[in-house]
Amino acid sequence: MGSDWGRPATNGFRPARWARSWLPLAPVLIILIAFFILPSAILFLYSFLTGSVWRVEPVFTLENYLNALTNPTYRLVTLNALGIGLLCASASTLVSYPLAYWLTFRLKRGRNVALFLVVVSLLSSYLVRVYAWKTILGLNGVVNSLLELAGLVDEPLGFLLYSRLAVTITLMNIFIPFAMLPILSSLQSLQPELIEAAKDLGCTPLRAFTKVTLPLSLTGVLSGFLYTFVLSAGDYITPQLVGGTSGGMIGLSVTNQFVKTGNWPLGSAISFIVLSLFMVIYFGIRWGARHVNRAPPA
Amino acid sequence: MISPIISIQQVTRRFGQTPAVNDFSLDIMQGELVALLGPSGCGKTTLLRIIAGFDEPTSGSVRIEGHEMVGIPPHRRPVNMVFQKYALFPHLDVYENVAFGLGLSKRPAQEIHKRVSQTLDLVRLAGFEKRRTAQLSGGEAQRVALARALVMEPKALLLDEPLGALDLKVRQQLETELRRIHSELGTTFIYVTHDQSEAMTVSNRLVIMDHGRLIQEGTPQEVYYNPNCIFCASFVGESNLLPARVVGVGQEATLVRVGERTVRARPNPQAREGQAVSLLIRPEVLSLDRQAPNHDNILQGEIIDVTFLGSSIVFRVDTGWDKPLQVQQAGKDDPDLPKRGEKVALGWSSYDTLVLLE
Amino acid sequence: MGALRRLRKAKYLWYDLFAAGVFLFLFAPVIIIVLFSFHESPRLSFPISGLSLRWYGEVLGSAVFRSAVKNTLIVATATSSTAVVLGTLASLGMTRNRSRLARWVLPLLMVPISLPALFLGIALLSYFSMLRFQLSLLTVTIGHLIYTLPYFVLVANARLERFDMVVEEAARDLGATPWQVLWRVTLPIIAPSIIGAGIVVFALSFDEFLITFFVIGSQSTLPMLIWSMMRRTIDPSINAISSVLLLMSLLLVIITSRLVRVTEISL
Repeated sequence: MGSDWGRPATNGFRPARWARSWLPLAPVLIILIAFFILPSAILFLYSFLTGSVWRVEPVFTLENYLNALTNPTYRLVTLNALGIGLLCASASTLVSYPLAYWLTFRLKRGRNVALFLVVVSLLSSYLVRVYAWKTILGLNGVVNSLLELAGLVDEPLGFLLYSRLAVTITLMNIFIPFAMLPILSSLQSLQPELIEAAKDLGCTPLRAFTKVTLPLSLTGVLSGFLYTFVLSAGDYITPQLVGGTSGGMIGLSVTNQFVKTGNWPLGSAISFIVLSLFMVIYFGIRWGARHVNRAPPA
Repeated sequence: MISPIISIQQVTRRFGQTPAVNDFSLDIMQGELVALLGPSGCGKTTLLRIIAGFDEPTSGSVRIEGHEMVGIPPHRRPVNMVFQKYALFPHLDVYENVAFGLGLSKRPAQEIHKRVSQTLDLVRLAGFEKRRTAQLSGGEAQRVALARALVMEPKALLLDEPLGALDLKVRQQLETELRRIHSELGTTFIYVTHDQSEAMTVSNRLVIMDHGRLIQEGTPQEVYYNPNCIFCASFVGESNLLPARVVGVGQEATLVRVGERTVRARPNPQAREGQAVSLLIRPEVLSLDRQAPNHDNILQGEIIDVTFLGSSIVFRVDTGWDKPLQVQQAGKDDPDLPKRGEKVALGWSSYDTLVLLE
Repeated sequence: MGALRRLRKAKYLWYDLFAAGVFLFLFAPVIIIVLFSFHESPRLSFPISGLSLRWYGEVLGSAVFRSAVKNTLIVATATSSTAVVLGTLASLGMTRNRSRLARWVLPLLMVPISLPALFLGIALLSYFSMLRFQLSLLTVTIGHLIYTLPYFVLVANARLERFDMVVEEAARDLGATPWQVLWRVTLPIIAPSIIGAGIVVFALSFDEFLITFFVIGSQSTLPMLIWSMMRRTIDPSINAISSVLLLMSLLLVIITSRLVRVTEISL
């Protein structure tokens, strides 16, 4: 211990207790404020300014919001986005759940490999995969060439690409892993003893599933659904690349305002309206789910 | 007069309104092996952490070799702790774990090597230097934790329920080891536990704590044979505790009335006639036989239960009092042993019967 | 009894086929891309006429490609190193500060990724333009940082929540100052998870396209390059570039999986 035992720690940096708890958090908070909160506030400010082609005038106005809310085109593309979002989220969740269940309960060996594959598909480049489907579904693409080779069709199928079908397939391909992870997480935290107890008390495997497994994994399902919904409803790249004229998405409208037309205030107003819409749906579904869960046991 | 190596004076530690440690004072001399014994929540671990520096008392002082320690952080205190769950560094091997403290103060490598090897020899882990912590058994891990603290040559070693997580046999082995290491090194040990047999095995000075207070302290024998209150009597060892009333106070014996009978007990100078007291009779002082034995106190009764514990046998005997008496004898392989339902006679001396006032 | 068993086994077979089918669906595009990157002819359909490395040759020889890779690497490295420092600090602060206010930091951190990435892109664009801050790789790095920090913290928190602080007490008991405790005990123990989280950030930044689109200046990153090429034509050299990108992601995931336990991360 040496001769310096017994001395209070006077040398060295010893800041107040509260500073020591908050100091490590400071850098991240500063970054967040400087590069997220402030920009969002600035964007919000923009939405109230008057804008036209590549010009912004510091004149307060509500016209952007009026425009965004009343313009039928924007309403259409917003509904389109929500529709795609709902469709993809539902489809992805419906496919992910059985897969997650299979991975957790059916797969004995190789579970780590399967999990690894899920993570790989999660982190594989988004653009590459959209491009892949573009080439696969096209007139000269893989699917059509295989069908022709097999003699199943005389002419290439044109509805595969540049259609809502293409958008749905592509988005599902990308978002199934996203929907799967929360479901996996909740299924894996399920204690197998609970299912054994249910069976011991007289449940058939099916009833044990519906009465024990499903309710307990519902939070994961909801998480996956909501996450996938937000991501796919906001996704405008995929429809742009493989959707053709089947329907623009609201994200494209916003992007166009920023990149093509140059009316930033309008673009900003649209994005805030869409954001609020997402929030309402998101919290609405969560609130609804919580109330369903709180129902007293039958 | 030799001054104590650790002096705890009127230490109180409050959490909100409740005192976890309540006006605790104790002087510990160099070389003692003190056990702080008490039920969970009695404040013994809090007290140990106050000595180590991980907690500060609300009031009172802690002195080590005369120097006031309150306000001094743990890394500047000349004491070291052996933690309950070993707390070995998972990213270091056994050698590096033990050498950790020495490595901080930049001592020459040769000196570190020598001291680490000596300490590993002491805890009988020579040859374990390169092992990873995850490969160690519970007993081995605890020895590493012990070595890591001892190599620092602390003025006192603080042990926080170190054997709690171990199997019975390993625990007993380590209890003996600790005594051996203590006598070899002569370091002061302060040992916290809730297990009274462990406390009595390991220590040469027993301190009973409850609700943050020091209830009784002394050698294990003193505390066992002369508990000063019901709590100590029942916490340490097995006991028959009977409510009684003093009917006679004398030089030779104190007479008490239990139910319908009068019992002769050891003289208690503080007992007053008519006082409500508790009578303590340890199960092992009762002798049990089919005929009436020759003793100060004799009782007839019927055996309710016989439990075989290996090295001892416990009888539960109904003597007409509210609670049956527990009688403990050395175990023997005797088919003629009294069985359940048999009528027997119990006998014991008045010296072995204690009157407790609270 | 034999028939019943066979029936039960058959049911499971359907299930296994389903699972295999989904996995095939998930990986089919990737496999096809890689397959056709070696295709000798520029056709991206069957039948395969022959294999060749010509597309890789074209790509690697292209200065545009090399510059895009360089920029992507610069941004990813900058983002991940900054994220490691800031994120580790934040994670340490978050898991040890038990005050009610501190519990809001993580949700706050998660907001940028709970919104469509588009939003973050346009917010930063308007911000930088208002400040007259030139768009460059630096602005891209900033955008990536906001986007990846939450993921870093999620991974790091999963490890730090499991961290038993008693080893820190042991270190202090043995004479370590708080600074020494951090460097000799805490950081070495959590290092694998921190590195794993850093690699996740690297992978995310490497791939990032949406935010980059808005805040990049005149330069290009690899995803931006693919995007602009995709808009123009179906060019088989895109397959080669994509395969390189996929290989990088795969390597990063392999390294990360050695360091981090995925199942402990709670989204």
